Amino acid sequence: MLNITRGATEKFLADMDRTQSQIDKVSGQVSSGIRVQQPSDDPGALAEIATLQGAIGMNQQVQANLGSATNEVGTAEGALQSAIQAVENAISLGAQGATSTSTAQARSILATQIQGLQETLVGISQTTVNGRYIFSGDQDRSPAYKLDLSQPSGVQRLLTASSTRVIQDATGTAISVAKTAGEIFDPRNPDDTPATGNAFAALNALRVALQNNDSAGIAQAQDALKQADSHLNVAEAFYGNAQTRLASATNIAQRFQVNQQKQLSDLRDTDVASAALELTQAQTQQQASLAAQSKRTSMNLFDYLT
Amino acid sequence: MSSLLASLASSGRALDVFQRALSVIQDNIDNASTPGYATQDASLTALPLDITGGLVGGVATRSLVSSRNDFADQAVRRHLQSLGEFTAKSQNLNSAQTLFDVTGNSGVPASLSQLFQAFSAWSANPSDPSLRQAVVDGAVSVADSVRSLAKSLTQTAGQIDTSVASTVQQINTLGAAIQNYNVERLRNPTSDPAADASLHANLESLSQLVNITTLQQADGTVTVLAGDQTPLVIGNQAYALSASVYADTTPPAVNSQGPPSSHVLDWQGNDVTADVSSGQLGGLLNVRNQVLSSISGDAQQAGSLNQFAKTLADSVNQILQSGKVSSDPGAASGLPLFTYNTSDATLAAGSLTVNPSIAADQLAPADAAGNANGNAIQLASLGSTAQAALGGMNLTTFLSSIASNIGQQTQQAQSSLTTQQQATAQAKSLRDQISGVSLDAEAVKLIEFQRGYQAAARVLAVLNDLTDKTIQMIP
Repeated sequence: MLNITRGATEKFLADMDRTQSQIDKVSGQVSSGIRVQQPSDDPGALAEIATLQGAIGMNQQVQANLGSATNEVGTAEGALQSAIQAVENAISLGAQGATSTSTAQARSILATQIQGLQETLVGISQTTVNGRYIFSGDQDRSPAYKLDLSQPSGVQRLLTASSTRVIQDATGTAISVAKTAGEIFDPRNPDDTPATGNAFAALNALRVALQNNDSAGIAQAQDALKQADSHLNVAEAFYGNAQTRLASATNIAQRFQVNQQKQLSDLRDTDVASAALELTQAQTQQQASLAAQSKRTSMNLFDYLT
Repeated sequence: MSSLLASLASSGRALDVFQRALSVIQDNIDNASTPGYATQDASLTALPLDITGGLVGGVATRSLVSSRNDFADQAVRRHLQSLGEFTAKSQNLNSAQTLFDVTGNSGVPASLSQLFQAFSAWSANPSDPSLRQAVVDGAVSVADSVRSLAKSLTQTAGQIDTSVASTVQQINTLGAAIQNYNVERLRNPTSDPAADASLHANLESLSQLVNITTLQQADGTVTVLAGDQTPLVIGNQAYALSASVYADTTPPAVNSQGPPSSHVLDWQGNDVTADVSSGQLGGLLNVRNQVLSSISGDAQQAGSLNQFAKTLADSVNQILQSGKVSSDPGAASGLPLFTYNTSDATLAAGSLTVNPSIAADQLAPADAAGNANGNAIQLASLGSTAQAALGGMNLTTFLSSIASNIGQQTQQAQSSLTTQQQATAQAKSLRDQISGVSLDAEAVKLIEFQRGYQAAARVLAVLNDLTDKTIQMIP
């Protein structure tokens, strides 16, 4: 019995609507390359997707931080090499002044050159990177020292801030990247007197000894300068080590990024091959349904009655 | 002679019967596409035949026989209720889920990620004024996006409230139409196929709007109840529903300023929302009072978005206020970055803002131990730090869980809708097989009654001729 069945027509239309929705959805996924475009596309994956998206963004920022720190540490390392050179020059000048043939006048001239090296060293302690005084510790908006030859060490200490700032890498590990000018150039004893390795004090002592034509003082200052040279080399090694750690941390962050991007892509992005196959299947099904429906006879007995 | 005349009359009656039968066939064909129409059949009965007693027999019609099958009709109405429910859920949940970005490029997820990145950049250079300002700007962006989301959810709830009112109006209109049927039926007890078709079409439309129970009464009227007990139509009376929006007071409100819920009231003003469990109205109420309220809050719950806003603000503020603006001796303590309305748990998201009295240089990157960027580092990792107030989830995961929940419900509604569309079409098809008009069957009946009419007419002609000849024999 052939019925005018509204139900059958509705069923056909419902099937076509469902197939068309599927085609639209898959087409959107193929064209955008994104499988998860709204929450209902894959509710179970949203937490992981959000976590990866956040982690990728944070990783990029961490890499920027590491890059900035690498620049700062590189600058500091170069500054320390200059400081070491200055101290070694002072040692050489001191050696000239220490000879028995050196006259008072000659020593006076050497004292002037030593003063120039003091100015150089103070200038190095005021090295800036992007507006920050990198040897001023946590108070990096101001220089830590200025030249003051009236002082026992030949400098006036402006800041006593320590350096507690650390750079966090992608694993959350903190990397110490800075020493203060006080630690590098002006180490002090607990009673605040210049300690062994104090470059400022050693240079000033040499300058004063040369000015005063004091052979014994010159000899003492030479020993102090040699200790300061060693101390500066240790500080340079610190920055060299920091450079190595930063380079390693940057490498790790980059590998994390690649891994996270891949995980995100696997979760979120369209598998184009599968989507294309699904699209083809849905379109074939749609065409078959339309063809089958068109073949359904719309004729009835009245068409044959005369 | 008298038997000839009786046979003549009987043949005349037969022609009348066949003509009526043909009228029924014509009515069936005319109403083949009329919603709610059930095929009618003319029921013929043989009259007594007793040649010796003078009964000439013949045919007569009884009342029309309807092919309507109540079981099939009820099955269709049940499926329509579910179809209406899942349609409403699917449409409204799909609209609501678009408010939640999952690409990470916009909305709260994007601004939150940027805030944490701003904290991280600040940690590398805590004294940099521009990086401090970037933190404040990032916080403003987060607060703006959270408030915007809260507002959008409120607007969506408002749109659903409008849809609820509109649906209730449609229900009342259909109830009035059914009332008119009952009135007419009380006046005229004879069943009318046209009125019957209209009634069942209205019942089907009503089923799609709300879950109903129908009871056929002995007097031919139909009693319609919403759910199992809320009267819509009883006899010649219609009982209108109404829609209202107010905060629940039973049980007593936990959040006195919580957003109101959508309610359906019966003709006496009693709250019958709980009776509405299916149909378009049921779907709308579910999305409005269950799904959206779980996010925006109501009298009994804070809402997940408010939980998120409160936890974000409190955790950031707690870290900042525990530290100093720098590691310098005597540095000032940090100020809170976020503020929100604390008078009600449901107001946090809609009122989240950056502290208007904070300047960038009052942010506290240094922790209580004196580490210059200890606080900033802690803030940078806040997105992945488990929060007890969020059930152990971190802020990023909790935010995504809100989207995930609404996404899952949308997915379920869409899947159920697809299934229900198929089931409803199937039920209608089965119903139509029983009570729908078949042109082929009507054509066969047409031939049958046409031939019958022709035969009866021929008999009438023969009887007429015989009667005439008999009369001619009378001298």
